[in-house]
Parts: sequence; C-alpha cells; structure tokens
Amino acid sequence: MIEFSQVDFSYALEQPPLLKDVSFQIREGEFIAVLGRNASGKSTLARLFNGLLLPDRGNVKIDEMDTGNPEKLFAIRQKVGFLFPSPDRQLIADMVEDEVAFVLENLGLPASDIRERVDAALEMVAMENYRKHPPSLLSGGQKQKICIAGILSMRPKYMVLDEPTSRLDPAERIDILATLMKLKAEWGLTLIYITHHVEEIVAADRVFILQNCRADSFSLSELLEKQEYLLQLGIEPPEISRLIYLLNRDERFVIPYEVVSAADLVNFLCR
Amino acid sequence: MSIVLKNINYTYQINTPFMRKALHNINLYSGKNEILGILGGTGSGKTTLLQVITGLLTPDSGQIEIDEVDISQYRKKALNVFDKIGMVFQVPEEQIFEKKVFSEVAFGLRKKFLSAEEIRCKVEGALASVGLNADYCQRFTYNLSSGEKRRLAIASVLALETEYIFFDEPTAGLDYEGRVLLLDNIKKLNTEKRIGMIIVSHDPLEMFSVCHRCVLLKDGCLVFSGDLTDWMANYEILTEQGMVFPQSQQLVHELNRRGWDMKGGMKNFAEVAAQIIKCYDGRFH
Ligand SMILES: Nc1ncnc2c1ncn2[C@@H]1O[C@H](COP(=O)(O)OP(=O)(O)OP(=O)(O)O)[C@@H](O)[C@H]1O
Ligand SMILES: Nc1ncnc2c1ncn2[C@@H]1O[C@H](COP(=O)(O)OP(=O)(O)O)[C@@H](O)[C@H]1O
Ligand SMILES: [Mg+2]
Ligand SMILES: [Mg+2]
Repeated sequence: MIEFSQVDFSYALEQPPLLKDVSFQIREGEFIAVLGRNASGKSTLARLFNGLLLPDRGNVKIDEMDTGNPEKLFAIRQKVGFLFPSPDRQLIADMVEDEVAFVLENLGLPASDIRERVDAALEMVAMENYRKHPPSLLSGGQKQKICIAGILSMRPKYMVLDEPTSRLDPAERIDILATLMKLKAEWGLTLIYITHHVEEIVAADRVFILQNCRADSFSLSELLEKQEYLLQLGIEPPEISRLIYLLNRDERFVIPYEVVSAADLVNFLCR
Repeated sequence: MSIVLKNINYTYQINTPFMRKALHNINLYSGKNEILGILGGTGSGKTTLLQVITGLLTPDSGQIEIDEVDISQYRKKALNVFDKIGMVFQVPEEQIFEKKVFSEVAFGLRKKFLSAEEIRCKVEGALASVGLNADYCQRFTYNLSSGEKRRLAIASVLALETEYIFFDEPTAGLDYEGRVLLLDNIKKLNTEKRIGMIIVSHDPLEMFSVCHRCVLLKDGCLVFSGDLTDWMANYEILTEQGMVFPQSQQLVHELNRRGWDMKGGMKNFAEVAAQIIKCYDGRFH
C-alpha cells in the first residue's frame, strides 16, 4: 500500500505551495489516473512517490517504508518504477536487450538472472522479436515500450508514469494502454498514470484531480457528468463524452456516460 | 508567395549500416495564407520534412523554394530562412536555451532595433497569449513544468511575427486551456496577420479543426492531400493506411454507413452533435 499523510510541499519559500495537507491511500493493483492543468503539480506529486522529492511536512510511505528514511530509499526505488516524460530520449545502448539489462547490471544481479528477467520483460511488452534491434531505429511507441520493459525488469510493484503517451500517435497510445492493462490484470501491477488525455484513462479505478494544492479523488463517470467543472480545471473530457453532453441537453436523448467509444454511441443511436 | 517542394529525398546516416531513408520524392505546395496540416504516425517523416524545408537538414536531392527563392540561394544572398519562418520545435528543451523566461522570449527580438520598452511589451504580450502572466518573466526556464515549457517555446516564436510559422506537434503536453489558446492564436494570426502556417501532428482532431488542408505522410511518402470533406470521402482507404480518424468523425462515418444522411465537413464534436439532432428529427418525426 502507498500512503500519503498530510503532505505539504513547495519548491521554494517565494513560490506558492503546490500541495497542502494531502492525504490518500493507494491499494495494490489499483489504477489511479492523475489529471490537472499545467503547473498544477502532477509531476511534483509523481516525484514524491519514490523519494526524488521529500515532503516539507507529513510523510509518504511505500509498504510502510518512509521515503524520508535514507536507508529505505534503495528498497523503495525497487518497488516503485518511475517512467519520466519522454524517456525515449535517454535510450543509449546499441541493442534493445542491452538497454533493458542496463539497470539490472547496475543492481549487480547474476548474468543468468538478468537474461531471464530481460526476456520476461520484453515478452510482457510484446517486443521479444526486437532483442538485437538498435533502439534508435524503433518507432516512438516501440521506444516507449522498451523503456517500460526496462522498468518491469526490476519487477516493481508500483509504477508511476508521467505522461507516457504525450509523444505517441493514436495507434501507439492504444497499444501502450493495452500493454499496461495486461500487466495490471496478469501481474497485479499498481498504476499511477499522469495524463492530459482523459480518453486514455476510461479504465481507471479512481481519478485524482490536482487543484488548489489538493488531490481530490473521483470516479470518472461522476466527472464526465460535470463537464463544465472539468473544463474549468483545464481538463478536456473525451470527444465522445463532450458530444453526449451536448446531445443529452436535448430531452429526447438520455445517453449514459459509460458510453466512451464511437462504436457504442452508434449502437445507442441506432437502437 | 508560397512554399514549394519538388522531388525531395532525404536519407539519415547515409552509407552507414544505420542508413534510413526518411523522405521519398516529396512534392508539396503551400500557399502563403494557408494553414497546412501534415499528419502521420511517429516515424513517418514529419519532423524531417520541417527540418528540410527550413534548411536544418539538406536533402539528398530535390528543390525547395520559399517565396520564389531557392533556399540554397538564401545563404549566398546573406538571407536567413529563420527571419521568414518561425519554428516551434517538437521538444521544447531543444529550443529553450536562455536561463530566464524573459530573455528566452526577448532573444529573437533583440536584433530588431526595438526599444527596451517595446521589447518588454512584446515579451509580455506573447507570454499572455499563451496564458503565462508577467510573473513568469523572472522564472528560470529549466525548472518550468512541461506544459509551461511548451507554452514558453510557442510564445518565443509568436513574439517574432514572422511571415510563416511552423509547429512540430505543438499541443503535446498542453492542458485544455493551453490547446484552446494555441488554436485561437493560430486562427487569429492567420486571418489578421495573414501568417502562413505548417502544423505537424499525429492528432487529426485538432488538425481538422484548424487547418485548411491536411496531407498524410506514411513511411516518408506523401500519400494523401485534401480538406476534411476529401478525407471523409476516402475514409475506408485512409483507415486501411493506418489513419485513426477522430471519434466524432468515426461516428459520422458509421452512422452514414447505416443509412443516416449526415453532411460532410463537420469540423468538431459540436457541429457533429448539431447534425445528429437534425438527422434524428428527420428520421423519427
Ligand atoms: N525544480 C523546481 N523548482 C522550482 N519550481 C518548480 C520546479 N519544478 C517545477 N516547479 C514549478 O512547480 C509547479 C508545478 O510543476 P509540475 O511540473 O509538478 O506541474 P505539472 O502538473 O506536472 O504540469 P504539466 O502539466 O505542465 O506537466 C510549476 O509552476 C513549476 O514551474
Ligand atoms: N538522427 C537520426 N538518425 C537516424 N534515423 C533518424 C534520425 N532522426 C530520425 N530518424 C528516422 O527517420 C524517420 C522519420 O523520423 P521523423 O522525421 O522524426 O518522424 P516523425 O516526426 O514523423 O515522427 C524515422 O524512421 C526515424 O527513426
Ligand atoms: Mg508534468
Ligand atoms: Mg516528429
């Protein structure tokens, strides 16, 4: 379990605080989406999960381990995988498998273990046929999967992803999301997923919205009914939800907000 | 006044084992007051194309003319392409190099013989147009959030008021407000200042709403060109090419396939909703 208790955070005294008295718990296997306008503190919150930043007050605990305890930091970072925004720019190895093995070698694992973990991680992201490929020749989506495999090879329990799809095209986004959903289902991986694209997080268990130094928890369907509120917070509902919202203002339409794809809406309209 | 590309080819790492042909025989024309969209998946060659047009990359073969002058002549005539074309790079970090936000926006203005007051005015105006208030002027650029960096990169280019502006995936990382401001700026600069734009993106939703015409790049080849009505008329072929249409356009296509009679050329969900309500009337009353 991940637990934030009464966390305050600001970067500097002369800057306004970003988090005030933030408390929440995240259970294993949950998919938490994090939304909020630019500069609301999403990436800051992300960096508090694995001790890259420490709270000014209150504490952050990962499976009972406090991120403020330097002795626990190594164990915490093995449990919490962290995907930076545009990590594909940091790919350095000549071959995909070396890239994925890189972190493990630094952990000092025996070669046979590394081999096994690399194979398993590449298989999880369906990139096992690209072992010997130079990462520089892969598409954006494939590079992103290699970065995800690098993190998975450490067998984390929790994974924090900061805008993992912002550089991907629509087809690649769908692919990455499917991969993450598979890992959640098969592996019980806990996801903390930051994005500006609400259509990506329709499967989220809970949605955290950052605003006014708070992180409030909502269910997505509840939010989609309050579209003006979302827009005010700098968050755009999915295109189909916005369309449904306009249709529902005409009393002949009563379309539930669970409908999130064009295909489902077609079926609804043609009944 | 226009941008013309004739038979452009470009290969990365030529004559090495990593040789990669990124552009195949591209022919493209963009009129001066046009907002041209270039759509295509990652790796299709969009960024390469923009960099070739601005002379940042030199093509293997082919010709590029900006306002009737071949860009290979620009250097000889001591002209700078970037005096004509402002470019918002795909990755803000590759564009931002000043320490402070103010200096970043002011950088390109310095050589324009403006007074300090005029510069301050233009800097603050450009920042305001992307939703950053004057307090940002003294902030360090390196610890801005990703959306703030994107907005800064856009503001620095808008401040220059060049004749053309190129945008490479400009909305990545922007929140709703940031996207709306950007699209409004684009429309306004195009109609009021007649600035020509080329916008590169893999997101057809924004492109269809703002561009006069969009072309599709696939594996370095230009495979389609047309306005939204043309794209919709070729929905099936384009989908086979890997094109993912915006959800509201998918809806229109599928409803028409089932016998509805929705008009083409609806640019966004609001226009689509209005049409659905109208057709629904026709069908059931
Ligand atoms: N190292 C830092 N020092 C000082 N201020 C910072 C630092 N990093 C971020 N900030 C500021 O803190 C605020 C929150 O930044 P953060 O990166 O957490 O926002 P975000 O919600 O991730 O935004 P975006 O959607 O743009 O990525 C911003 O105003 C930003 O400028
Ligand atoms: N510096 C480079 N060296 C080798 N190949 C490159 C380089 N930059 C881009 N490429 C390759 O050229 C192709 C087109 O890339 P790019 O223009 O960046 O596409 P897009 O902008 O559409 O995503 C891709 O296959 C990419 O991998
Ligand atoms: Mg961020
Ligand atoms: Mg690109």
